[in-house]
Amino acid sequence: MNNPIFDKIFLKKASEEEKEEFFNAIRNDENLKAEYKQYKKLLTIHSLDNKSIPEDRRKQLFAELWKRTKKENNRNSLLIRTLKYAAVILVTVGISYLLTNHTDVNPEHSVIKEYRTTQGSIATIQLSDSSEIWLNANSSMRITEKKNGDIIAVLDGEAYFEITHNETRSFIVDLGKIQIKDVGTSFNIKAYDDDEQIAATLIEGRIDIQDTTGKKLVSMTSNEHFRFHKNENRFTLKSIDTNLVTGWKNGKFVFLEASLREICEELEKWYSVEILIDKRQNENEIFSSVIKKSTTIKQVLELLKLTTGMNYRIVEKGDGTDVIHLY
Amino acid sequence: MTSGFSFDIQLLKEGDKATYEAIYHEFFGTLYSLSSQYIFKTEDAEEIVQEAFLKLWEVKSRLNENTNIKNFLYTITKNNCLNYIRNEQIASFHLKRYQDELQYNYEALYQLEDDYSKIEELKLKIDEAIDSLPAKWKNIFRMSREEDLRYKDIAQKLGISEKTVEASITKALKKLREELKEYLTLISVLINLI
Repeated sequence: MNNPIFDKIFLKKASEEEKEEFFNAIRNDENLKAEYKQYKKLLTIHSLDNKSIPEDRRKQLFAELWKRTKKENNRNSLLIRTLKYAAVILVTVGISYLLTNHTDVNPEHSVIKEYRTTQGSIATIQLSDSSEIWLNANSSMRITEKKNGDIIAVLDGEAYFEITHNETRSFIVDLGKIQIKDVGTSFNIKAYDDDEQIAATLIEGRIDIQDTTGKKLVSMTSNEHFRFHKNENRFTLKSIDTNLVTGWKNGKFVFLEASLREICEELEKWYSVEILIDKRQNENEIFSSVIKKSTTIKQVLELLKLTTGMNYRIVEKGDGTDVIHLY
Repeated sequence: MTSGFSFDIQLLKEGDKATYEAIYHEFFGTLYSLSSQYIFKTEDAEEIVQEAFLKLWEVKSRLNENTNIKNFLYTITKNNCLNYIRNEQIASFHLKRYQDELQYNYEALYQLEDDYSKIEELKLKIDEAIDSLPAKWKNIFRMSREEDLRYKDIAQKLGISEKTVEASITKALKKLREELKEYLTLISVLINLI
């Protein structure tokens, strides 16, 4: 490769503009890309030595490390921490708290609360035992806390649950044909009434799926994903990468093998736009991707254009709603 | 390879601080060199290595005479770096240029040999190739890469023009590429065999 910027990059002397120019230039050349990666590897190897850090700093770092080995819980790894941090930032964008908070007290002295979210917002619900529920856009939940402590949540939409384990009470999510009983866990449920499927993903802990009589259908353990097909009355269970599924909780769209049509439906809900897909496009084509919800619709469309090759045209209607044509 | 470093694995298994510390000082630098190639925040690059050592501590009771500690630490560090890059990719999804660099870095790191002794062999070859450069170029190259001096500073130090510095480096790199060409093909052959 005779590109002068190439050399500069490896000597760490290239400016941001030069780097951008370079990466644009090699994007379509498989050979140049391969060569770049070879050099990156060689450079890495060449740089490996034991003198990369001053002795004092190393001693200090060891002292810190030693303290950490004494602590019991070391699951607070960098990766989990950075993800949590990202969650804090992203969740504060577009949160809407308790749009309708309707409290009923019925004769049996249970407390019923209703929660509802609109397009483009998520709500977080805290229960008295510090369990937390995140409600995704366009969803509603009715939570009944019975006098004996049992909790039943009726969900239409998508929610992510982090339920405090409590032997003395049961926590059940009622989804019509099936119920999900928590056994002290974090799990995600997607059950929009007008969707044909109900999906539940267990992050941590254990949940039982039962039918309306309380009979157990299946137990789920962590990182399993359950899908119930309402019309066919059957379900599937598989292992999954849970960060993808709960990405929405951290303010991202996550599409795991979703069809173009499903993706557009999610985008329509969040951005309050109408998306028309030209007949020549295959709306059943499958994609997987992760997009931050704070991204503008325009950026998302650009992204779709890049990944699917589809073009778009935005038509602004007089009443402020936009229609997007995909072709 | 290393300066004849050895330790008693039994002591490590029992949680002997001095042994653990010796291992730490022996390998930290190399691992940090690796992580800092792919992770640009110093604290994070350091933290990745810390976590590798923590993992070692966590599993110490399961170690045995045959465990290659260096390989173990290297593998964990490498994998943590890969995960970190993946997270960066998700977090900076809309920055196109950054995505390219991250992806290439990911792939380059992924393809890095699993066995650390192979890496040490390659390092020897590269060092030899640099050593065989004409003295003039070698010096300038070293000042640029290892002492991290700017072209301007090198020019000043050696009493030559900046253009000369730039030309020397270009020529040195060209020569290095020729020297290592067979190793480049060797690497790509190895990859294809996997």
